Amino acid sequence: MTKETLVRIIREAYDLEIPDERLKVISRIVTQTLEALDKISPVDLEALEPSSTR
Amino acid sequence: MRVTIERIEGINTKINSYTSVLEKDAISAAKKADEEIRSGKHCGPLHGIPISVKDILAARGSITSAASKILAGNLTDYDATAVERLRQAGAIIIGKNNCHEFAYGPTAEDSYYGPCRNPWNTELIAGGSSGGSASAVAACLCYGSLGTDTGGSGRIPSSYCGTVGLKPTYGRVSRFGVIPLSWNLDHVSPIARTVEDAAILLEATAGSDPKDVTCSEKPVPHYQDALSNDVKQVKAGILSEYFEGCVDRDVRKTVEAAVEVIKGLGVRAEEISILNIENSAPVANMLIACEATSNHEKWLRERREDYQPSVRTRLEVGYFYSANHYIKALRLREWFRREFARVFKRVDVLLSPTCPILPFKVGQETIPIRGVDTDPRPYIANFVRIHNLLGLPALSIPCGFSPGGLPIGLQIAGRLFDEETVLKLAYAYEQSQPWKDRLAAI
Repeated sequence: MTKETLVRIIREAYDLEIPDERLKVISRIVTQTLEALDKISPVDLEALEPSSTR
Repeated sequence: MRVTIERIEGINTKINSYTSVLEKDAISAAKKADEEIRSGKHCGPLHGIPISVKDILAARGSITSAASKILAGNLTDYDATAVERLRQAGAIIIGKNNCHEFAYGPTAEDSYYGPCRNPWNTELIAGGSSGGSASAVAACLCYGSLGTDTGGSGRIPSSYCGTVGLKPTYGRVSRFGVIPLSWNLDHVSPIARTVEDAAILLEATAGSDPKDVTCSEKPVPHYQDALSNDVKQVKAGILSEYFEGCVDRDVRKTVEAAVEVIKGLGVRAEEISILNIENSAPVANMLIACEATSNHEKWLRERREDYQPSVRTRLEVGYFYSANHYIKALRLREWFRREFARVFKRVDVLLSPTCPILPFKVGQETIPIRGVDTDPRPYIANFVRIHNLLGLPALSIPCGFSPGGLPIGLQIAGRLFDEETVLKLAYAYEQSQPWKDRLAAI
């Protein structure tokens, strides 16, 4: 999904207008977080159940 | 009590640590406590002691605003369980502490009531989100405080203000009556001037609670009994990545010196390396973002203009992650949990700096980091979030000062529900050093 599509979906679904300036900040945070998660290796995620309870 | 209230009146304008002072209730509770103590009904170390509470915990008869315009008129008629237990132990709730709006930020700069300021230098941030709690304790505007810690919010301001901040194990202290940010990572966090005070506050507030399903039914130890100078049996791991990732050289040097002191107490220490730990904070960040956005969905629709701009932006970030991202973060948490279980077979505690950088000026946009002007905010919580992610007990204790006179925190983390070993080592270290006797000249 392109960033533009995602922004459009969020605008329509949540009635949320996010000005470009804030969108830039959000985009940076999201991109950095996703990149960090991708860097975690070598992890066989499929072998792990999500931990939801303690 | 009057002396403490007068001190708040004199100093709060400089550091903005209180959103409200419950003067009338506190004076009346103090008179009652005096009478009880005089008549021999002494109910323990907290009896008659002024304790403050972060403004996201409900306290009967107080406004619980979470430092937000959205809840500025939210008069609460009940106590959070942790607050109720403090009162049962005889403590007097003296007021509500300022914080980062909705506890969603590491600086306590962005509050409807204005920024919290650091008592060691009022131009600087107190750290957050429980900045008002830590600064009030450091400036002697109370004898202890209840903060919260979702991503370091109790330990960060403790490191920056020179207090002891203890994030207990997930489920150790009830969260009933705490305005939620992230169900998986929220913790109530005592903040105190000494390790013993932190142990007293933890013992008073811990224990099962039918009003909070995540609260553990494990019996609560008498934490003060754990405090001793004999730590020769303790094995400590030195988290290499968190020393190497330390941005400020003075912080690293000071915490390394603290580790040497701890070795000198007879603790066996070894370097520990945990694969991928430098990327653990983003995993926690993603969980917090998704859960916080969900918690705030109604207000984001109806009151979005009433948020502090930076908090609104953080909350909007959560819209941009998918369910797949959230599940991936939960899977990665499980992976880190297994790695830490392996490490805790070898050592009892893990040592690291609490924060990689020193506090900076309120509102300062950038500081030089490795030669580049950089926003320092994303760095602050890099070493603390893993312990929220895994629910491990972790404490920040003052371990020295920068050349500019700012306190620096050492973080000690332990196994699930082993607050005793964390407190024991912190106490032994504290007793061997002069830091707890140095007060901010404010």
